[in-house]
Amino acid sequence: MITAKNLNFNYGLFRPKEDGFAIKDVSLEIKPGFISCLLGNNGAGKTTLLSLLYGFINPKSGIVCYDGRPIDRKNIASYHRDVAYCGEKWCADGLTVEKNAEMLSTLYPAFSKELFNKYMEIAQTDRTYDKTFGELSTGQKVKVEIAFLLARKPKFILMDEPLANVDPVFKTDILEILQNSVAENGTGVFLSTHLLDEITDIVDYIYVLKNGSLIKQGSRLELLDDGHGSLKDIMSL
Amino acid sequence: MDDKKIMKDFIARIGELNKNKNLWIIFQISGIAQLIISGRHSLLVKGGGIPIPSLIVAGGLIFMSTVLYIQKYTVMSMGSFEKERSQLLFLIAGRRMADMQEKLSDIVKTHGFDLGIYYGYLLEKILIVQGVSCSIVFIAAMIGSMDMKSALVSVGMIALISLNVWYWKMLISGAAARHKKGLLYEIFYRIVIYIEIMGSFVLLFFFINALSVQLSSIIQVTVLKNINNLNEPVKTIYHEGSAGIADLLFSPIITLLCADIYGLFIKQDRVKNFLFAALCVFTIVIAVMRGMTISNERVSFSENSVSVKHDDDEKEYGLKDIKLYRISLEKDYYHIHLEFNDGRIEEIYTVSSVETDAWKEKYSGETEYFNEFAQKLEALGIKAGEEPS
Repeated sequence: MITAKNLNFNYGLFRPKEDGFAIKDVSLEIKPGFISCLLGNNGAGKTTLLSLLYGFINPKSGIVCYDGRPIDRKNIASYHRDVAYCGEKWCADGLTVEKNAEMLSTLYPAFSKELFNKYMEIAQTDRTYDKTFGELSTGQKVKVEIAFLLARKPKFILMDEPLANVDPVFKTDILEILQNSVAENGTGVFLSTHLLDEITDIVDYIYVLKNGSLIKQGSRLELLDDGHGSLKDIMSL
Repeated sequence: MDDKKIMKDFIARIGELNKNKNLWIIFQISGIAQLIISGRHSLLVKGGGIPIPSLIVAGGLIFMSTVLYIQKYTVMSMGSFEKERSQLLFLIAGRRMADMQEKLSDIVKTHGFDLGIYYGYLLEKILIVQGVSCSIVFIAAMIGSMDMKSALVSVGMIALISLNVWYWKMLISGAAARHKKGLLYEIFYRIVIYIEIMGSFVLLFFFINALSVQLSSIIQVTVLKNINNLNEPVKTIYHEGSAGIADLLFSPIITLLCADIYGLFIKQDRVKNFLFAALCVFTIVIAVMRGMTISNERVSFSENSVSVKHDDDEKEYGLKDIKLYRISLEKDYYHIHLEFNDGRIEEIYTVSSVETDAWKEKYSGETEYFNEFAQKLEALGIKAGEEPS
């Protein structure tokens, strides 16, 4: 389980005023076998929070733990092996898809080439093996990235707006693939999005972020039964 | 599978992908050659000790070699399949080719990558390369090509430079991989990059200069052995004017190459290969030109004779064959005017010269030597000419 306790973060060298924090006193849990979602408008701090959870940046205060142990320089490599991140540069633009997969799969003993080929086929990107990653369209890049990170069988997946540049057909496919991965492998998925409608059917737990603070959290049913009626109402709080 | 095995396999994979990145070999060989040749030349001419400028140039070459070797394992470039087509696309789009080099630290941020272990394996590789280099230096010392003190200094310098480059590269990569790019990091990183860029300009220039001088010194030493008895005090003065012109012609090529290394200009392999081939050819040409000046254009002053050589015209004169002489001190060299009885006139400038050990033991410098030379001529009744008006 990934836990975050009382995270605070601001950009810049000096402590800002009260309303200058990018992330303010955020605590959450990402459990295996569940799909959690981070909702928030643009500028709410979703990417910052994901960066803190993954270890790209260090919080000014607070702590991120993995299976009860704080993440630090000594264990961050093994943490990154168990936790995949979707949404940042992950491969060499100048290498072909195939060479990138060959190169980076070396880092993951559990990587399955069969799975990678399978997901590439589902995503209809199986003709891009010989293309350099830089030549792919934005949507194709997302699909290849998701195929790779699923093929490495991570325990957790953190995703920063993964559906933003994907065609509608593949959106359905990716959500289905994520659900299968959760069900079969017990993968914990934490994804950020502001596309409310696409995720309501699959998400188990929702965190709502506004101006760097978590204003609401709960299971999907709890939030919807809380009298707000729809997630859009929750977002407008 | 443990982390070490994973990183070991990964570094091997990166090395395989970058197997054509071997420019570092040229710098490494040049640096070691510079040390050995300088050591040998100094041993023959001065009795030992590598001159500081030669050490600086060699150090710069070892620095560049280590930087490029580390880049082989920390920078990704395009594979051969994509190169032609994509290079053309990028050129048409007007993008710099330098944009196609990607740092491994940017790629592995989202992967289970242990930077410490990776750089540990990289250090092992560097130690193997430098170990071989140091062994070559020690072998050179053992066979008498350089003195042992120079060998130890060279080995120490190689170790110091390569370890420092590795360490600071690791720090920079680590900071980049952990997103710890604060203001101080940015300042430090920029300073290091600019030092590397400017350093490569300066060092390559000096390298060409020094390498050509040192290569020519092989010819020089051979010539000295052939024409001089090293047990006698002999001062040989030669003319290096032609080499200076070659250096000036050379500078644009060096500048372009240095800029190319850092991707400041658009890279095309053919152009780069041509420039490098030209660099090698010019180095050899300059070395030969420098070497030929001493072998073909020189005046040697012995205790009781003066040898003059211009290509195939070579003649030895006794002191009494001199009809008139004039010795004057210019800025920091002597100008000697000699008129011989057979009508030959020689204008000699002591800008570039070599002296035998015996000469150096006997005379404290040119002033003492030319004073004695003038006294000998006066004793023979040879007139000192007046300064031309």
